[in-house]
Amino acid sequence: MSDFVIIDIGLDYTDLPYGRDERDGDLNGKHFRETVLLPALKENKKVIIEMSNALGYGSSFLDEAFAGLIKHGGFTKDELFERLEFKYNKESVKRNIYKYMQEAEEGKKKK
Amino acid sequence: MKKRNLHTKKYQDISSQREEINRKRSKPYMPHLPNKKKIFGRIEIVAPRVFSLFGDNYSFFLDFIEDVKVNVQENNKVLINLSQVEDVKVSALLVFYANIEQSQKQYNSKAIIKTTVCKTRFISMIFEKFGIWKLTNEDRHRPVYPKQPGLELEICTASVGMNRNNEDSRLQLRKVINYTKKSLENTTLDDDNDSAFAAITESVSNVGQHAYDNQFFSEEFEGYLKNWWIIVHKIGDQLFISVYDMGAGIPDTISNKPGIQALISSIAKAVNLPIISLGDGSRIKAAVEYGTSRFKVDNRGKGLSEAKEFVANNPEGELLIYSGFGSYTFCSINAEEEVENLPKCFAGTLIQWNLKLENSYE
Repeated sequence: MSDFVIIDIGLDYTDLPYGRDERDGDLNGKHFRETVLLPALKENKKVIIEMSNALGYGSSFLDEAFAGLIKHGGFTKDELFERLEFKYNKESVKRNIYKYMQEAEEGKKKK
Repeated sequence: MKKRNLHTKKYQDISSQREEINRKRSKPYMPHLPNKKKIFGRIEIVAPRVFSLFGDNYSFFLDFIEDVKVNVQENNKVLINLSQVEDVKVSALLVFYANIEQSQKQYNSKAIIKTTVCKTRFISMIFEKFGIWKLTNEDRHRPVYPKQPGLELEICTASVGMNRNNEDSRLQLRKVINYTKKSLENTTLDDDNDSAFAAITESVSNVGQHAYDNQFFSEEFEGYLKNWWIIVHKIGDQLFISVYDMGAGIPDTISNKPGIQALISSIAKAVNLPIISLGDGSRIKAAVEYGTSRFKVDNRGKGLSEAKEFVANNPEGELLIYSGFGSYTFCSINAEEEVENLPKCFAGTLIQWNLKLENSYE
């Protein structure tokens, strides 16, 4: 397992990250989680997400991509808080990602 | 009795041929419809003086759109007479554009709807700027006006049902987002670019996720007809953005959301009305509140609450949603919400943001 990897969403995936699943097109949060995030987390101790090169972020994309790691990927919030690092100048967006992961963890505990 | 000759036989033959053609056309006999004037074989439909969905103009405009659709459905080519149009609002223009394009796709003909010239240069410029003449293939015959690069954008549209590649949809959305970002540059909303991105893309995502779901239609919606349309227009210090679809409408699609009935009950209780009396406007309000409510079960359904948030971040912003028989309005200046019943059903959903832009260096 490598120490870390940097994923630049805007340059490596799409500059228009929006949408939850295939109904929103081929590049969506679920696809990003399954094809990019999960393999990266499998092979690296830490994953740095560079977010500055996209035009913006839709909440559905972020929720499905990151909170989806808890809902569908078997991760816990604490593990992801430790292993994921977000580089973006919009603090509100980063806060939202942590909030979605928190809510996913609480939702999972309720079930 | 008149003696027949070669001349009368010729007239007889022509008359017989015409009768045969009419018989094969098998148009339904509709005596209640007044005979419409035909110009060059096209049914003429006179457009209203004002293209607007607000106030008294709402019903007049929708009647006009319905008139166009009915005549196209009756296998008629249509000529829209624009000579009386004096004022055009962006949301109405968007609905007009969308209905022309949808008719063209349904009947596989770019020539099915044509238009006359406009009353004034100003109105003609508006139609040209937003791509109406290009849509109807009349751009070669209409005056071309000087463009302001970067400050104008034709109506953008794409289908959510075509194919998984979706590159066309992304291309169109990219144009909208870039235009919006440019409009917000050096304004107090500049730092909030992500709320603009979220509001617009979440609205488009809602179209793909819910609006054309086949469970809401008696006949399956063909993929190429599952479209969204967006108009963005900055004029002076005002920015208008509208997203439109012809899908099932919010009052119908929210019924699927887990926990929504509890939210609707709480809204009914708050206004002291039985649930059954709640109009579509209140159901739209429920859909807006759903994303931040305690009733939602998972983290879905935030799209409309983000649409509201985009406006809430603007000191003089307004959010309008028209769908079914209801409308919902939110004004950021006093944080007031208003729901109303519409006199005529609005097919699909229209979401409009009106924003006042203040320069950040003032």
